[in-house]
Amino acid sequence: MQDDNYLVEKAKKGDKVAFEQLVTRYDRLVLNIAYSYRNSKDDADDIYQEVFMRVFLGLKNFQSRSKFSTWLYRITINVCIEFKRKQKVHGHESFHENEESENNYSIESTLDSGEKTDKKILENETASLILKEVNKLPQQLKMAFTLKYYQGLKIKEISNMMNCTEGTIKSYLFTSSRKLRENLKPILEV
Amino acid sequence: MKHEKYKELLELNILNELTDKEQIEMENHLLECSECSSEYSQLKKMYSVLTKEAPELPTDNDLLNARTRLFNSINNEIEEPNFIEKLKKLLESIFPKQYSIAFGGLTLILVGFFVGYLIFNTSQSEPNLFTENVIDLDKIDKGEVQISKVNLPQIFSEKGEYEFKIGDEKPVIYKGTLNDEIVQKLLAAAFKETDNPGFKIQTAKSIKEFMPKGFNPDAKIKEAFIHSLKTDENPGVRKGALQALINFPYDDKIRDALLYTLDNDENASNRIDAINALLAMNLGSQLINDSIKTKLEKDITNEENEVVKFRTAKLLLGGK
Repeated sequence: MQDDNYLVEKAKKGDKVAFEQLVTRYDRLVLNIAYSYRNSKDDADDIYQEVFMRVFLGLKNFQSRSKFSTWLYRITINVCIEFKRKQKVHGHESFHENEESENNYSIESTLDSGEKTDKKILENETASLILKEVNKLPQQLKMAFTLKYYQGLKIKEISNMMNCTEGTIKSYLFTSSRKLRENLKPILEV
Repeated sequence: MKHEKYKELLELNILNELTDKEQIEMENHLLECSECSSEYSQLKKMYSVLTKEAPELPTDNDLLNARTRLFNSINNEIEEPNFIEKLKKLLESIFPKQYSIAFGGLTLILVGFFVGYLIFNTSQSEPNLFTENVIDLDKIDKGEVQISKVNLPQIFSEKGEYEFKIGDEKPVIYKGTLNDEIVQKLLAAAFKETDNPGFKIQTAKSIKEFMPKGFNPDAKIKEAFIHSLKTDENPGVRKGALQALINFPYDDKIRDALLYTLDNDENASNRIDAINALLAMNLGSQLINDSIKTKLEKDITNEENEVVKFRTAKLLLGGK
């Protein structure tokens, strides 16, 4: 397998195939990170596009001081965090697809009307509550949490991706789990 | 202090981050400390709940769609070298370097003559199909003129500008936002023409994203989405069309398309989206005339998905 530096140099000279090889080598993790961070396929796809367009346009200035993969993942982290901010600014969260609309039709109304509760709805509700609490975490904490809990990456890898020390990542993870434990106490005790 | 250190080790152990030595140290401590042992059980339980409820990963199909969209965008970014660049390269390859400046000058003079010719002979040249941004939509509809390229607005762009390249031989570029009726008609035509599911999904998403306030969709774009929602083979495309339609102002055609999805779509997630949208529309008696009521009752009987079944019943009860 050709190494990244070789492909990067070829891609810089306009070799599309080399660029595509670089993309397909790493894009699964990029999409997974984006999806687990946003919990939305649409958002994950948009983040994916933005990340690789930034890579494509910025490749000519990439000087291989770090590994290509490190550079790519740092861009991914930045785009994920920026994406969140933009969504907040423009208020694009649609009632048709976010968890709020799910909540509108969920447990409470189901039980009230005496209907048989579907197991799946309950699971969705639990997932939705967890998601809501995870979304309340500050962005850096949420990112560290996502990479560790949902992507199973090592703390060392996360620190490299997020460009901070391992100690900082540990502190992010401890704080996240403490906050989640406090806020999810009722469902953790079920 | 020592106790705090062990609490960190407990958590790191759950996260699979301890060395063998640290793990032995932690396990020995657990044997003699009931407080840490109870803390460890709670941490394990929390970890198990959180990871069990982790978001599902995108499928291979999602990845392929993302790649297709990316490579299309990149192809659009890479423009063919223009005539002057090609000529310059040709001259450089033919003549030695010391003459290249002179030939560069000569090229510029020739280009000047050529541009002058174009400017002063417009009356004699063949009439362009499209003049001053007037697009012959009939010819596009009849397939006499093709839309050869569409650039959708990037998700991070503020303007939400679409760009169309129309025709192959003498292409015309048309740019505009969704406020522009021609942009909507061109999008509808491109959406109808293409077989590319990635493009269709992204078009629907871009409309949802950049739809202005009080958006009044052109009939053609609405028809294109309704047609796609009812007939497209790709469930992702049907979902995209549905997501765009439910953001359009309500009308009976959209309601009927959603009812059709509820009745016919094989994909449970699309049926859930349809029933959620119908409930969110809060239509009351507008929706529940007798024929629709009978149809919904049949849907409840035939529906396999409990969520759709329950919410359809709720719709029949007036959505409360």
